[in-house]
This record gives sequence, structure tokens and C-alpha cells, in this order.
Amino acid sequence: MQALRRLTPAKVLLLASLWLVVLVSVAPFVYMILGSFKENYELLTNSPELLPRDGFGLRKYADLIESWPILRNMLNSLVVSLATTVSVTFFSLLVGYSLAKFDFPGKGIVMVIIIATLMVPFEVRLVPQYVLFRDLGLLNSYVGLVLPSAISAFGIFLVRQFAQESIPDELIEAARLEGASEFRILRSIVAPVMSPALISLALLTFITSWNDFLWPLIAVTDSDLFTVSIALKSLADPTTQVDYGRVLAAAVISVIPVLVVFGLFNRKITEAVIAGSGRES
Amino acid sequence: MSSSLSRRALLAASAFSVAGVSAACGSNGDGGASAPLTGGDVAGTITLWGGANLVTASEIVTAGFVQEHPEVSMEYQKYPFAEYPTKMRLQLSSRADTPDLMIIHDYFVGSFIEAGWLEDLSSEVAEGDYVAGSIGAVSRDGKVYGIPGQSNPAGFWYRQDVFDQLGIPAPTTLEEYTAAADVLHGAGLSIDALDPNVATTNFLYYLYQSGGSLFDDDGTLQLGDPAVEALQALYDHHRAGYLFAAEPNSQDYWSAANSGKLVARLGLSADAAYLTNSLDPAGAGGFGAWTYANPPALSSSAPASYLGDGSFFVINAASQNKTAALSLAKYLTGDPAAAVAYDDIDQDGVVVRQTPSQLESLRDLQQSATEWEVFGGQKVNATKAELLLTHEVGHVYRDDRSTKAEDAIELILPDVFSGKTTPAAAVQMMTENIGAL
Amino acid sequence: MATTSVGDPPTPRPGRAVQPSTWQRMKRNRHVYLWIAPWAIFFLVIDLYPTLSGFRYSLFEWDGFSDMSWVGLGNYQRILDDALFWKTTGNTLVLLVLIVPLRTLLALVLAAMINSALVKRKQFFTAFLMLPNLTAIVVVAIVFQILLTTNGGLVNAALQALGFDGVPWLDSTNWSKVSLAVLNLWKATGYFTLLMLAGLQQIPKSVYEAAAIDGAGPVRTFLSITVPQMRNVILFVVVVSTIFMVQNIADALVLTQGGPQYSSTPLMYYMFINAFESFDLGYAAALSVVLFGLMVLLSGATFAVNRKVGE
Repeated sequence: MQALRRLTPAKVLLLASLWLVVLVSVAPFVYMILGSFKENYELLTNSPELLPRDGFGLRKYADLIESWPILRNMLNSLVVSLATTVSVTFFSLLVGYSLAKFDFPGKGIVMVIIIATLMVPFEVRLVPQYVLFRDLGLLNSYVGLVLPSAISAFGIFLVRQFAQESIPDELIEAARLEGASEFRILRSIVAPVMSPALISLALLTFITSWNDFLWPLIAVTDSDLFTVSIALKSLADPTTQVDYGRVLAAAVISVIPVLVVFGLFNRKITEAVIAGSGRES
Repeated sequence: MSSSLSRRALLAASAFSVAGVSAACGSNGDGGASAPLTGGDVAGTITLWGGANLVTASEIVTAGFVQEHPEVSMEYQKYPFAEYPTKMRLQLSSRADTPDLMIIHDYFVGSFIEAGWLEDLSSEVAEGDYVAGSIGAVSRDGKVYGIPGQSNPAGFWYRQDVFDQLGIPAPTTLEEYTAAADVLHGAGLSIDALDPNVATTNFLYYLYQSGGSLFDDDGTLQLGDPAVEALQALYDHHRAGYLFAAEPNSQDYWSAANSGKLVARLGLSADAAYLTNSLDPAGAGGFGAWTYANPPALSSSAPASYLGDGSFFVINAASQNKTAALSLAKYLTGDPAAAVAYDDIDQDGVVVRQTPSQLESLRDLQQSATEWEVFGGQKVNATKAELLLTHEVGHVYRDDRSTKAEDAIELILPDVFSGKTTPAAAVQMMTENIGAL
Repeated sequence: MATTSVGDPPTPRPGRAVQPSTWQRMKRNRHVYLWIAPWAIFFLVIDLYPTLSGFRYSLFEWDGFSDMSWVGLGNYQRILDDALFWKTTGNTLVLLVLIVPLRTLLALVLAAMINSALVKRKQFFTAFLMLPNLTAIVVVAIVFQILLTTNGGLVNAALQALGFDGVPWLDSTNWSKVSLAVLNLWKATGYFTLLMLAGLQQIPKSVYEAAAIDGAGPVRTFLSITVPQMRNVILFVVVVSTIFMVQNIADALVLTQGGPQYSSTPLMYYMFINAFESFDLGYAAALSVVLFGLMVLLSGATFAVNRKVGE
């Protein structure tokens, strides 16, 4: 009863709008999941039905796995995303910490360059990067897929900001006085303190890498090495007769890891996104 | 500090440019000893590349081959139709020894032959064994570089129940086609589909089915009056409202077919196979009531039909397993068991119930073709085989200009259908644009 | 926060002026150079060399396999004469106009709604904001392609059930860009809403209390206080939105394949087609340089407008 008394028209409108937004955000996922059990003529029809005609049998998933190396594609995405995440986190820590806590000759230049790489987008280097990797024999390889994203300016900035704000110099000085090497300090003191930021960065990097589309599209011609995004594009090729149930099944499979990560670590991802926006710095 | 960085940059830059130049120079000419075309063992791994649809179908049919040759193991690489030429070019330009066998279309064969990537199969392919005109695209300077796979004559398929109910016979001339379209239109139905923005194939069907062509056999641009007449006929049909607004074979098209609005199709017969998977058996699309027939003659000089496009089996000149690859190619294109297997394919997602080009196989197929459920049990491939064996069919010349030419046509056509340009002016524009290619 | 870091000159004691030389500071920070060396190599190999190469390629004609042939500014001349270039650039600009203002407004309004005192369970609503953004754009494009099919797609079926005519979302040269806009709005608005929300939560309560005392209603408060306070966040959203949008290609590639008639091909996609479908690498490089220039122009214009508004 108390809640009803507080229902003003404004509040109703507000909540209804927000709930509409939630619905709109979620509806395509529901459509995707239901669609992975349907035939083409159930999905594309002037008289749509909500539930699949033949129930929730997994035949589309079975057909998919039989006709396309989707599980291999998932594995590829996993390897590439994990490698990228580890690399980005590691190097962001090294470089971000260096920029936050040390005043070394050349620091200014490094900062300027990093900001420049943040601002200069990738399209000018896309074609030359392709040619370079082709000439180095790195196409169609895990290394070739991971290398262009191995270090992230965004990650460096994130770590730098966090390190500046959250690591007291006294902590570092104390460890130095005890004779610890710089690397030891980084490993045993700084990294643990930074772990919330590092975890957020890792999560965001993993998801971004999982969804990466453009570079894997041109860097890989061997379908055994396709990542899941590229596999989806090939499956949904509009120049052939596409079985949309099968494509949606692949889409569902590809989205599961992201949904799991999102469900478990929602808060941390949100924090990383906001922190990375840089605000006034 | 900065000077050492720039020195490093210079070193790195020079190293990469050297690598780039040497890679660009590439390896010209044969690398090492190449495998024999005949006389080797039919064993080892055969790698087959091609568009996803055709390779999947061939994979199914190859099961029979592997049974006969247990020492052979297969590796497949399937690409989306739009991507496979690029992927093959990238692979072959590095003189790789795989793939061994490829399925490619007439659009690209010419450039592959010119680049020297394909094995000369002249000793294995006799022109008289195949439907007339089917090896033109893979012939160069008197040599043959590929074996014709599927043949794809044009056809006309329609809903027998609807046509019977409205008292229309299957059309055999342009007048009968227009009359049928009119009756259907009166009943709220459409004889075919046309999307003005994607109208090239519709136009080319009318053109070829009336005896005209885009290029002639020497590659000279033709178009001219036959093209104007064909385009005029298409425009008239569109104007009269006979054609449903959708691109044939698109999802829009199938939704309309499934609600019973689309009751016929004039197109390349390979598309008839799509009905099998795309028509809802429980819907209003007339599953089981369709009939396949030969196309109407859209002019007095029209051929009985024409071969729309062709796919070929070609062998990589650098392959290490040519004998096995050749053996497989001959099986897939000429063995009667293979022809039946292709016809029998009825699996989710695989829509290739193709007809062979080899005359021997076609003769067999007249007896052993499969009944197609969606066509009410008609043996569609037997009908197609009969056409190819008893009539002279036209064929389409294609070379490297064809893709760009068809793109150019596609950009010109919408203005015709919106009335801004006349067919004559449009054909003039096409002639200019394509002539400049 | 003032920090003293290693490498700072030690606080001079009276009578002693100790200034470590650059060399000494470098020695003291040896480990730093080791730690940033991988980054430096990465920058040279992955960022600098390809970027410079990109500018260089644009002066040649090259198919990636045979020899490069010098054309100087020929590619740029060709760009000026290329009707498709102007068409695709126009597409990019139209898409920007369709997407960026609407998205910024939506993000701000949504953030304000969530931030309002009337909403108790903020956590619940923010949880869903990132979900569309975290999904691969390929997945989103495939689902939307099915939903937006003219005949038989769910959206048109719903519209027709409500008495409206169906819309040729993907088949019409006019609507294809709208479809791209719808896809982009759905996908990323949540992300920008989060950013706006963070910005809103930084506005001190005292400002609002002062407004409330003055008797300002909610709309008035929003326009005269919230928006000006949020200027920097709005600027950030507009710039980032623009940059994302200009670099985007997956949506067009999967949803409309650039059609019909190149009506939904943004400039970036046109460059991609020239590079990896026609293998006209020199021309594609020139296009990418122009694209880069376009982006600099757009970002610069946004900053200039921001400065103007601030005066």
C-alpha cells in the first residue's frame, strides 16, 4: 500500500520508459534464442508464432556442429581472446605503472605518443598492416590475430590513472628501503593493490577481443582458424540460401561466454567502462 | 634518447621494406618437381576448395568415391560464395601446393588460367562428351583447363494447382507468358518477382531467353536491339504489376511464396532446388503442387533454353596429388552413381540438386533421376536431362569483365523501372559503360 | 595529488645543490626502459610503420602482388572524380546526422531518468545498459537482418498488425541507412548512457538544491543546469560516437552488404571493398587517408563548436 501511495504520474512514466528500454535491450536476445529452434519459414512469415513449431529440439545445433567447425571457432576465439587479455593486462601494468610513478627522461614523449595512438584511428594502417603481416608470414596464425591488439593505449591509461590515485608512494618507498628490486615491488605489492583495475581491464579486453571483427576478417583465410565472429559472417552469407535457425544457433553459442562473463562481472565491467572514459584527465 | 629510437625505426623500416619487395617479386615459374597428371596413385589426401554450397554437396557425393578408394582421405575448405575467388587467389598466388582440386565458376576461370595456376587437362577432356558450349569458359588457345561440373539451364516452374484452377497452360511464348501473368494478376497473384534495385538477373534472363546476349563468343559486347526489346518487355511486365516486389531467392521472396502470392518463376534451374528447403510444407506455398517445365521462348529466335552459369572442377598446377584429384573430379562429374547422389541430396541447408554436364551421365539420369517431393514427385533432373540431350541450348560468355559489367547494369536499371529512362537510353548507357571496361 | 617519484631531484639541503644529470636519471630508471621497450617496439611496428606506409601506398597503384607503380597524386584525383566516393562520404555524413544527435539525447535523457530520485533500483537498470554493447556486432546485425526483412520480418509483421504499412527497411535506398542507424542506436546507446550517468552523478547536489530553492521545475532544471554541467561529458560522447561511427563497417557488411545500390555503404566500407575485394590497394590507401582527414575535420569541428558554446 505504501508503494501505491507514492505512485505519481511522473514516476509511472519514468518507470514505464525504463522498463521499455530494458525490454528493447533484451528482446532481440530472446528472439535469437527462440529462433535457433525454428525453420526459415517460421522465422520469416507474415503470420509469426512465438514458440517453435517442433518444440525445443536441438537439431539446429546438431546440424550446425556437423556442418561447420563452430566448436573449433569457439576455441580459436578463446585462445586469441585469452592471449590478448593476458598481453594487454601485463603490458598495461608495466607501462601504466612506469608512467604513473617514475619520472624518467623521455616520459613526455612517451605520453604524447600514447595519446596520439589513442586519437589516430586504425583505418590508415589497416591495409599496410595486412601487407606487413602477409610478408612476415603471420596471416592465418594465432600470433597474427593477437599481435595487432597486444598492447592497448586505453589499458595503459587506465592503469596509470588507477596507479596515480590508489597507490601511496610511501608503500613503494618502504619496500625500496627494504632492498626489494623494482620488479619485485611491482609483482608483490603494486599488482595486488591494482587488482580491481586489472580485473576490470581484463574483462573488458576479453569481451572486446571476443567480438573483434575487422582484423580477423582479413587476417585469416583458413576456416579452421576463423574466430567466432567471422564464422558467423560466413554462415550468414546472403549470397546463398541461409538456414537462419542454424545461424541463430551459432549466434547463441557465440554469445554464451559473453553473457556468462557479463552476468558474473557486471559491476566490474561497468566500472572499467566509466574509468576508461577518462573524464577530465 | 630520441636518436636511438629513430635509428631503430630506420633499421626496422628498411628490414620490412626489403621483406616486402622480395615477397612482391614472388616466386615465378614452377617450384620444384610437379606431380604427374595420370599414372600416379589414387591415394593420399585430396584438398578440395570452393563455395560452401557446392563443396558441401560434393562432400556428400564423394562418400561413394572414398568407398572405392579407401587410401584417399579428403580435406574440404568451404567459403561464402562471394569470398572464395579472393581466398583462392591469395592461396594460389603463393604457389601453394594445396588445394589440389577446386570448384570454380566461369566468372573467374579466365584469370586463373592466365595466371598459370591451373593444370592443363586437354588430354582428359573431350569436348564431344559434354553438353555443347559447356567447356568454352575453360578453354584457352586450344587447351582445356577444367571439367564441367553442373549444368544450369534456364527453366520455368509453376504451381500446377493454381494454373489448373485458373485455366492457364504453361506458357511457351512471350504472348502466352504475358497472358498468363495477366490472369494471375487479376487473381491477386504474381508470375515472378522483381526488385528494381537488384534487377540485373531478371533482365539477363529475358535477354538470353529471347536469343540475345551480353557478350558474344569472342567477347565482343552485343546488347543492341534484342536488349532493348527484352528490357522493354520486362519494364512492361513491371509496369502492369505482374511482378512481385522482391528479389528472387531472397527471404522476402520466400515469405511471399509461402503465403501463396508467388506462383511461378522463370530462372536458372538450379534455383528450383531451393523450393525443397524454403517452402513451408504446412504453409500456403503449394508444397507438392509445383511443376518444372522448359522455359518459354521469349522471341522467335529464342533457344530452347540456355546454360546460365557453369561450375568447373580445376586442378592446381602446383598440386602434389594430381592423379587422385583428377580421378575424383571425373567421378564427381561423370560417374552415374555420382549423378544420382547429387540428385538425391535432401538435407537441411544443402540446396544443390544439380544436373551434370556430361552426356553419358545425362542419359543415365533420364532413367534414374529422383522424384522431388516439392514438385509432386516429378523427376526434375530427368526433364532437364531430356532438354539438354534433345535440344540445342545457348550458353553465356563470361570473362573478367562480367562482374563489373553486371554491376554497371545494376546501377543503370532502377531508373528504367521508375520511368526516368527509356529502355533504349538505358541500353545505350550500358553499352558505353561496359565498353569502357 | 602531488607525488614525489623516483627520479625527482632530491630536496636540496642547505648548502648543497644536487641536480642529477639526465644520464643519472636514466640509470636510476633502468627498469622503466626495460618495461616500456615492448611497447616501443609495438608502437614502431604496429602503429608507426603501417601508418606511414599507408600514406606512402596512397601515392602508388598496387594490387598487392605485382609491382607498385608510382602515380603521385593520381589516386586523389581519382577520388575527386569518383561518384561512388562522394556517395559513400555522403552516406557517412547522413549516418552521423541520424545517429549522433539522437544517441546523445537519448543517452542523456535515459541517464537523467535513471539518476532521478524517483528510481530506487538504479543498479537493476544499469545492469542492462551494457548488454547490447557487449554483444558482437555481427550477432546483432544478423538478428536485425531477420527482424527487418521486408516480407515476413517480425518488425513489419507487427507494424502491419497495428494497421501500418510495412517499411522496406533493407530494400530501399532511403531506408537502408535508417536500418543501420536503428542497429547502431540499439547497440551502443547503453554504453553512452552509462557515461552520462557517471557524469551526472558527479554534479554536486548543492547545485540542484539551489535550483530547487529558486523554484525551478524539472524541465527547467534539466535545461539550465544539468546540460551545461554535463558539457564535457556530452562533448566526449559526441566525439567518441563520431569516431566509432566513421570506423564502423561490420554493421553495413552484415546487415545490408552496403546496398541497395551502395546506399548504405559508408566511406570506410567503400575503402574496404577497394582494398580487399578489388585489391586496388593504392586507391584504398588514398581513401583511408581522406577518411582520416574527414575524421580530424569532424573532431575539430566538434571541439570548435564546444568552445563557441562555452563562450
